[in-house]
Amino acid sequence: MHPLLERTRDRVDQADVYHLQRKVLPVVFDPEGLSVIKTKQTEGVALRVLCEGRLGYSTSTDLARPEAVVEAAVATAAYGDVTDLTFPDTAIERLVGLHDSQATPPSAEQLVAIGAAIQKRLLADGSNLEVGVSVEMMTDHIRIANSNGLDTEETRSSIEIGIEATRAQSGDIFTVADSHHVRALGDVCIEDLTQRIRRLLEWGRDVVSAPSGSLPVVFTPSGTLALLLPLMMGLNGKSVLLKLSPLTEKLGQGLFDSRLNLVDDGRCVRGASAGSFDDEGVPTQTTSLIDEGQLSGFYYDLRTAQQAGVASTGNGYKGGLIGASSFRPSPSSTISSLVVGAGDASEAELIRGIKKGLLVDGVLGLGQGNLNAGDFSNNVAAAFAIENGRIVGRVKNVMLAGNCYELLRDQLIGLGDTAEWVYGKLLCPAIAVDHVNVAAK
Amino acid sequence: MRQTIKQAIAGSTADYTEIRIERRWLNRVLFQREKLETLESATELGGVVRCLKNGGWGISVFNDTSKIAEHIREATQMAAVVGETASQPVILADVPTVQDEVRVELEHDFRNVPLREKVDLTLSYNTLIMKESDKIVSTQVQYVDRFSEITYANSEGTYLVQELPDITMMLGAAASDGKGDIQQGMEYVGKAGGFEWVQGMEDQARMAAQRAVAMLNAKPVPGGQHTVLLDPRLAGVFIHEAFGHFCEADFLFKNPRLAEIMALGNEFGPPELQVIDAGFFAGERGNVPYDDEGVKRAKTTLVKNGHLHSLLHSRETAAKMGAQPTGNARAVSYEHEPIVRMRNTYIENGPISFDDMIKDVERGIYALDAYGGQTEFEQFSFSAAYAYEIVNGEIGDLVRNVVLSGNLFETMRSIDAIGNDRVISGGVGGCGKGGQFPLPVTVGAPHIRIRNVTIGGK
Repeated sequence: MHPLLERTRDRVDQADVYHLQRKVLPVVFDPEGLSVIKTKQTEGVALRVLCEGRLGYSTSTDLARPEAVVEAAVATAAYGDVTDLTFPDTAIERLVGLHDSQATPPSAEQLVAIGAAIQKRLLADGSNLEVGVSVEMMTDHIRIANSNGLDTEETRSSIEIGIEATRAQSGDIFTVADSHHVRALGDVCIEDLTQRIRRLLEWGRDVVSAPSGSLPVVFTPSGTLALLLPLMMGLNGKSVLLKLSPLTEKLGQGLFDSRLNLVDDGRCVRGASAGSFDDEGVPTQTTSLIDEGQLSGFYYDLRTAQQAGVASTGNGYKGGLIGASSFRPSPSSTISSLVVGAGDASEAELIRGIKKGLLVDGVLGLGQGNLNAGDFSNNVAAAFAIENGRIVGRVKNVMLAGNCYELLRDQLIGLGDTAEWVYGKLLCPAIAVDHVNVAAK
Repeated sequence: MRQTIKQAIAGSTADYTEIRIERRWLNRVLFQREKLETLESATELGGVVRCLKNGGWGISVFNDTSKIAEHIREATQMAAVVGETASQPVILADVPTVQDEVRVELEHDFRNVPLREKVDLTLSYNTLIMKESDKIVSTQVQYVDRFSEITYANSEGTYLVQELPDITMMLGAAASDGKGDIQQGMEYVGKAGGFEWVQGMEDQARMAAQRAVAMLNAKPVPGGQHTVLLDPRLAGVFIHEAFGHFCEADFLFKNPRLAEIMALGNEFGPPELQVIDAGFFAGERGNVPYDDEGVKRAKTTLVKNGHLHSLLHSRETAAKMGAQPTGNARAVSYEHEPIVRMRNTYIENGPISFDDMIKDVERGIYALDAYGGQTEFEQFSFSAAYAYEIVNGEIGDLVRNVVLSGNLFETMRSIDAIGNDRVISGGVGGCGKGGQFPLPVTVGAPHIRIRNVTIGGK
C-alpha cells in the first residue's frame, strides 16, 4: 500500500494519492550555440481525502514529512466542499508504446546532437536567420492509489523539441516557432521537424499589404487554435455544468457543418498527455464530441461528472491545456488529444480556391476575447495574403475576429486532407472558413 | 542548513557555484458558482544548483535536499559539456558579496489566520456576487496566500535568507442573457502584505457582478482607428508587456535588430514620459530585497524624458554589455534558474488631469483594465476588460470586444497625454517568460491618451 494512503487509514472515509517522480533533461541552444544543460529530478505528492462527505486537498514535495501532508488534507476537509464522490477502481487496459524500459535513455550528448542538427538544417537555407532550439527528454513515473483498492503505476517518456527562427531584414523582423512531441529518439527526423518552419520562412520572404473586410481564411493546423480554443472550452463538461457554454443542453443537435468531426482521444500514443489512465486513475478512452456536425458529447473529470450525473470520460488532468501535468493542481476537465477529422482537399487546393483572403498560421493573444461566447479576436503572428489562389507574401498588423460557432456552422469552406500534430495536443487538418472579419492597419 | 550548504559549495570543482533552497507554504480557496471548488494547503521544499565551468552553465533541480553535493557534481558535468562548445564563454559582472537575513513583519499575518476565516471571507464575496442579479450564472472567487523562505549562497561568499509574502483575491463574475451571450466582470487585489488587504472588498464584489450584467447590453465597438484613453491598470499592463520586456537585456541578445532599436538614448515617447522599474514599493508584489543572484535591489529608470535610459540586467547580461547589474535576475521558483525579469514597473506621473485629458476628445474609447495581452516583437495585442465610448469629451455607453493592437514603437510615440493620477496595481496572476510563470510583479501608470490605436471589432 502507498505509505501516504496507509497513514490516512482510520482518519478519513476515502483517500486518493497521486505520486509523480519526474526526470527531465533539457538542452537549450540560443542563436550563438549551446547555452545550458539542465537536469531536473522532482518528486511530489497530492492527497485528496473525504471526511464525512467533505473534500480535502493537500500537496507537498517535502516527502520526509508525510504526516504534514495528511494533517493539511484533513484540515482542509473540515471546511471542504460537500460531495458524494467515489474514487474509482476500474480495470485498466494498458497502452503500449509510452516508454521503452529496455532502451538506454538518451544522453545529454545525444540531445545536443539533435539540437545542433536542427540549427544547422535551418541555417543552411538562408542568411539573416537566428535559430534557437530546445530539446528536452522527460520521463514521468506516475503512481495512483486510492482507498477503494486502486494502486496503479505507469512510466511515460517523451522528447519535446521547440524551435524558434527569426529573420531580420530591411526593417522587418519575422519569427516562426514550432514545437514537436515524440516518444523516443528513433522518432526524430530533422527534415520533418524543420519542414514547417522552412515553408513559413519561404512564404514570408516579402511583406505585402493586407486585404481588409469579410474574407475567406485558411487556418493551417497550428493556426486552427484561434478557432478551436473557444470550442474546446465550450465542450468542457465543466463549462456545460456551469452553463457558461453555449452548447449547454444541446446534445444531439446539428450545430456544426456536417463535415465536422471531433474526438477526444486519450489513448493516442503520439499525444503528449497519452496514458492508460488519467490523473485520477480513470481509464482513458475515446470520446466523440462532434459527429458529422452533431454535438455528440462533452469531456469530464470525476467530480464534474458526478455533479452532472454522468460518467467521467477519463479527462481528469492535473494541468492546463498546454504543458505537462504537475502534481500540484487538483484534477479538472481537460482535453487529452483533440482529433479533428480530415477532409478531402489538400491545403494547396484550399488556397487555390481563394481569390482574395488570408492563410493564418499563428495568432497573438490566444485566449483573448469572449471565449465563452465563442468569440475570438486576435492580431496575426504569422499570416499570408492569398491572391487569385496564390500566396503572395506575409502580412503584418492584421486583426482577425469572428465567432467559432457561427463560422463552423455556416461558413466552412473545407477541411484539409492531412492532419498534423500541434503542441502534442491537437491533431488537426487545415480549416478554411469564409467571412472572417479582417481589419488591416 | 548553513553549514551543509557551505560545505557543499567548498567541495565544488566548478568555476562558480550557487545554491538556492526554497521552502514555501500556500493556501488556496476557490469558489465557483455556489461550490467550494478548491480548498488546498500545500508545502514545497526544493532546491536548485547552478554551476559555471569553462564559461558554460549547468543546472540541477531537485526536491531531495539531502544530496546537494551530488547535484553540484551533476551540474558541473553538464556545465563542462556546454563549456566545451561555447563560442562566447559566460562572464559574471562583479557585485559585492552580501550576508543578510530579511524577515518580514505583516500587519495581519495571514499565517495566523485560521483556514475557516479564509474560507468564510471568500464565501461572503462569492455570495454577494451571486445575489447581485439573477443574470449571474457563475463566479470565480479565489483567495491565495503564499509565504516563501529562500536561502541563497554562492561560491563568492554571499549568503542570504529572505522571506517573501504574497496574497491575492480575485472577484470574478459571469452573467448571461439566457440566449447564449456570456459576459464577465472582474475586480482583484494582489499585495506583498497581510490579510487586511483582502478584507473589506464588498463593494468591489458587487461592482464585478454589476459590470458583468451591464456588459450584456454593451454594444460591440466598431473596428478601426480610435483615440484611446487607457486607465492606470491597462496603461500599466501596456508598459509592462509591450515595452518592459524589450528592456530585458537577455531578450536583446537573441534579437540583434531589436538591440539596435533599444540603444540607450533612442527616443521612444514624448518628453513627459518616464518609465521606472523599482525593486521596492512598500507592500507591493514585485518587491525583491535581493534578486536570485544575491544582487541588492535598486530603482532603474528605463525611460527618462522620452529617451531610453537604462536596461534591466542580470550579472551575465551586465558583463556582456558592460553595464551594472540592476537586481532583476529572478526565478519563479526553485525549479528554475534566474532570468532577467521586471519587478514594479510603472509610468511616472505627468502633468495632465483626467478631466483635461478627456475633454478635447470628440470621439474615442476609454479602455479599462486588461484581460490579457500578448506581444511578439513590436506587435502587441491586448484585451480591455471593459470600455466606454467617449463622445464630445464625455464618457458614454459601455462597449465590448475592445482588443487593442498595433506596433509598440508607433504607439508609444502616439502617446499625447500623460495623467497625474498614477496607481500601482498587483494583479492576481503574474508575469510569464521562458516557461517561468507566474512571477509576482506590479504594473502602474496614470491615465494616458494615445492617438490612432487599432481596435479590432465586428
